Amino acid sequence: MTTTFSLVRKMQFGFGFALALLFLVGIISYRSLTASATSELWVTHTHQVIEHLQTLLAAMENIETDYRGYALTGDESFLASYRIGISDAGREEETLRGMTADNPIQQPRFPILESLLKQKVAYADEVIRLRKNVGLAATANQVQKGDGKQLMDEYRSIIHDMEAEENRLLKERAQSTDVPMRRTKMALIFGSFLGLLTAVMGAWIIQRDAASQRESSEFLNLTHDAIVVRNLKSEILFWNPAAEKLYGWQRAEVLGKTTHALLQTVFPKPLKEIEMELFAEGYWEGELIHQRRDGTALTVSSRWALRKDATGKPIAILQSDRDITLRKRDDHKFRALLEAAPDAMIIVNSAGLIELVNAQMEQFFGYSREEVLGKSIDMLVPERFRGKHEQHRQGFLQSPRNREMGAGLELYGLHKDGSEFPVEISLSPIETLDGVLISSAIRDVTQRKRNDEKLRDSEERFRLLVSDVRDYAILMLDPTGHVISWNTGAQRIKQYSSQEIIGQHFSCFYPPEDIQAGKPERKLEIAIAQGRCEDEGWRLRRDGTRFWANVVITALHDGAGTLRGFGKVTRDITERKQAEERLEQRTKELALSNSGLIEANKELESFSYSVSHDLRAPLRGIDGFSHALLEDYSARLDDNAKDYLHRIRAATQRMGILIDDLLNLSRVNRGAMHTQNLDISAMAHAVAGDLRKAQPERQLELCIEDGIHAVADPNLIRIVLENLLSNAWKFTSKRPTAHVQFGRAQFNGTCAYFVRDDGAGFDPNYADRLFGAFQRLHSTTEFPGTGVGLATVQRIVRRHRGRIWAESALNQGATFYFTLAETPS
Amino acid sequence: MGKVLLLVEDNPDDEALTVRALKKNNIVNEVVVARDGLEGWEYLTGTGKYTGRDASLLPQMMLLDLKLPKLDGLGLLRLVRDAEHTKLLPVVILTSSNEEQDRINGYSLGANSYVRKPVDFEQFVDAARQLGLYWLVLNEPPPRRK
Repeated sequence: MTTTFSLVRKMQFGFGFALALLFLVGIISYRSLTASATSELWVTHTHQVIEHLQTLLAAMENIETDYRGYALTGDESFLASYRIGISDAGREEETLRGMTADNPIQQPRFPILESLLKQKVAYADEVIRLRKNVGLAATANQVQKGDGKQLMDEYRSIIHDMEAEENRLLKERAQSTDVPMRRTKMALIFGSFLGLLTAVMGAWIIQRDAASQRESSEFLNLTHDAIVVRNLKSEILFWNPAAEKLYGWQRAEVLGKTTHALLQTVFPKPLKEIEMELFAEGYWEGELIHQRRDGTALTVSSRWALRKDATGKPIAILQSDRDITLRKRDDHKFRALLEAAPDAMIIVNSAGLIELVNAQMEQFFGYSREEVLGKSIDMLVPERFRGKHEQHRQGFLQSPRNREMGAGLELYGLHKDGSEFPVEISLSPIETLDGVLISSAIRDVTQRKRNDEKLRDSEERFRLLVSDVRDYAILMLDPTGHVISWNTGAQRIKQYSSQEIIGQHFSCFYPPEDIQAGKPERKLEIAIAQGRCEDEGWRLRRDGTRFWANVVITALHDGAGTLRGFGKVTRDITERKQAEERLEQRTKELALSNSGLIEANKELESFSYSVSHDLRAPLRGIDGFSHALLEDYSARLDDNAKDYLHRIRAATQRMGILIDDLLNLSRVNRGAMHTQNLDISAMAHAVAGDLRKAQPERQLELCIEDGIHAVADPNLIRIVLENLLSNAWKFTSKRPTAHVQFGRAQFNGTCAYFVRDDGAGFDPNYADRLFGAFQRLHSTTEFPGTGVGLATVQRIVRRHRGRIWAESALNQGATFYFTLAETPS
Repeated sequence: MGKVLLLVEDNPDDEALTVRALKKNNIVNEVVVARDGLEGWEYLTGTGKYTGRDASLLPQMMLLDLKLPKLDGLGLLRLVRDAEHTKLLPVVILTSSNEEQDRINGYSLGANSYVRKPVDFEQFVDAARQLGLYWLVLNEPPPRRK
């Protein structure tokens, strides 16, 4: 549209310029021609003047010639010519005077000429009179006087002057004719050239504009906005490629279709109203919802422009649609983001009026958004800050950039109820079409302030707590190891006052040899690498004395992981150290005595070995040779001697048994245990079987519970069963019939095995003596035995971490219980 | 020629009782007594005190006490089993010891039997009877070597 308009303007301008030029050339030519014609007339005039001057001079010369001829000849015919000459001269003079009336230079000459003529005529008349009246001689005399010649020369000179004047004029006038002629030529040449140029340029511009107009319609095809031109009946006349792309229909498919039906347009207000606005204003702008060919909906920003014909009658509507679905979505997102922000968001325009707020703002300030929108931000600022706030706001508008508001200052928000609350505000400028907006994110820091105070309180309490601790030196070191805090305990243990020590390097607590070995630095390195470093060693007090310290150094980092320093807790454990040393000493002594015991044990073992070998050998000798005496010398020995020998043999044999029992007892204490899962019932059967074979005559009822298993050493358990069962056999031997039982019983959840008999039993008052070695509750004559068996049994049960006990009453039988630790219950 | 029994025993009482017990059982083999392990070895190898004895003539069996002066019973047993010409000799350990370790060591070194000398002489006689019956009558000795 603009291009077309400008084209018309250009054409008007171009043609106007060309016309004006022609007009100008015409005027110039006309004026030049007129001027030149006038000049021509003057030139002719001058030529005439010159002609008349020459005629005058000729008439004068005729007069001269005629009177002289008459004077010479006396011929009267000269006189006639002479009269004609005079009248000619007079007439010419008169003519010339009229012709040069405009020339002030020529005019004064005419009286002179007139006078000279008169003198001349008077002279000539004199001459003629003399000739006629006096004769030739007098005349010749008169002529010779030469007055006539003098007059004639004078006259001729004046005519020459006049001629010269006229020639000058002629020259001048010829020149003045020339200038306009040249100007006309110039104007013609220049004007033609300019006209031609204008025409060429006009043609070029028109052509270019036509091309650019073609391009403009190409641009319509190129634009990303969908452009639809429709007539007043909404039938589509034009549909650009962007419309094809946006809506999905090709141009050929939609031409002639009704726009709104095709796109299923949803209008923001009734179409009637929109059209009324369009016809009134010539354009309309708004958001429409359209449907694409594939049925998806999109929101467009639509601009309608009305096209009118020359008479101003509307003929078509140009609609340009831009897809803003994404932007709407972004808007939506922006809104959601705004609402989701943890801070109250307030967007204020450059005039300080609130344009946009979020839900957090409502919550923080107690106003609903309707109450604040369009109002001044001042309503949320405590009154005492308002003046300053306005200044700062203007300052921000001068140099808008993201920053904290009032860095380092305490800021407050004003709640609807008039209360104030501490806030932190960050500002950022938003450039919009309507100018700069200020977006402020406001954080209610009431809770944090409260927390800060709590933290300060707690830190203070902690500091007091630490400073009063007496038993621990608690101090802080900076990252390079210099003391920065000191408590009562530190003063007590290390004897420095805080004034003396703060700022000192902590290596002063270490003995010189540790410092030389670089120990303090190494401790810090370990604490950095591993978080903490625990150490025990000698440390120095202020007076140089040493104490044994337990030291824990902890590296302290801030939230960003930067090393802030170290916490160091030192305890004086000199006493504990001394106690430990005493304990160590004691342990060494014990180890020593233990090794003595081990030694003694070894000796005991070799002693047992010797006993087993060497103690028995003599017994064999005594028994063997007693036997030999009885056998070989029976005839020579009386009964008394034989009785003694029998007693000797019985005693040596008892001694042999005693030695064997003792060896057994010592053996069960020595040697490794080889435990395995054991069928105790089966073992009891086997042992009882041996006993039955040894005394087949005994009437004895045996009851063994089957399926009793235990994890135990088979050799040792066999010794237990042999002892207990043989005891049962032995102590029931005085009964005609006996009952012996082996089984299991539960005691407090523990499984105990038992061997029960109904024999002699024992006096429960002596039950504690049952299991001592060589302890017997019955006489050997009553029941033989060495008193070692139950002691051996007890040793074995104890080696199995079990317990053995017995229940009985005299003559009511006895029950022996034992447990084994490794017995699965 | 009678079969020789080598008795390695330092205690003369035990020697006398052993010989008596054997006699009681009518075992009439010649009994050669060595007082210690070394003497036993000299007999078997025809060296020292027994220089000139034909070492290829091995005894029928060797009754070996463990507790001996100079070379003890187990030491002698080790030599016997290590030497080519004696390694098949029947060896019965006859000792007072009832120590488990002695029995294990004895059998480990290749003893053929382990008999404990009882204190009761009658039991000893019985043991000697069974030994003699088994080793001197029933048992077939390994073939003699050249």
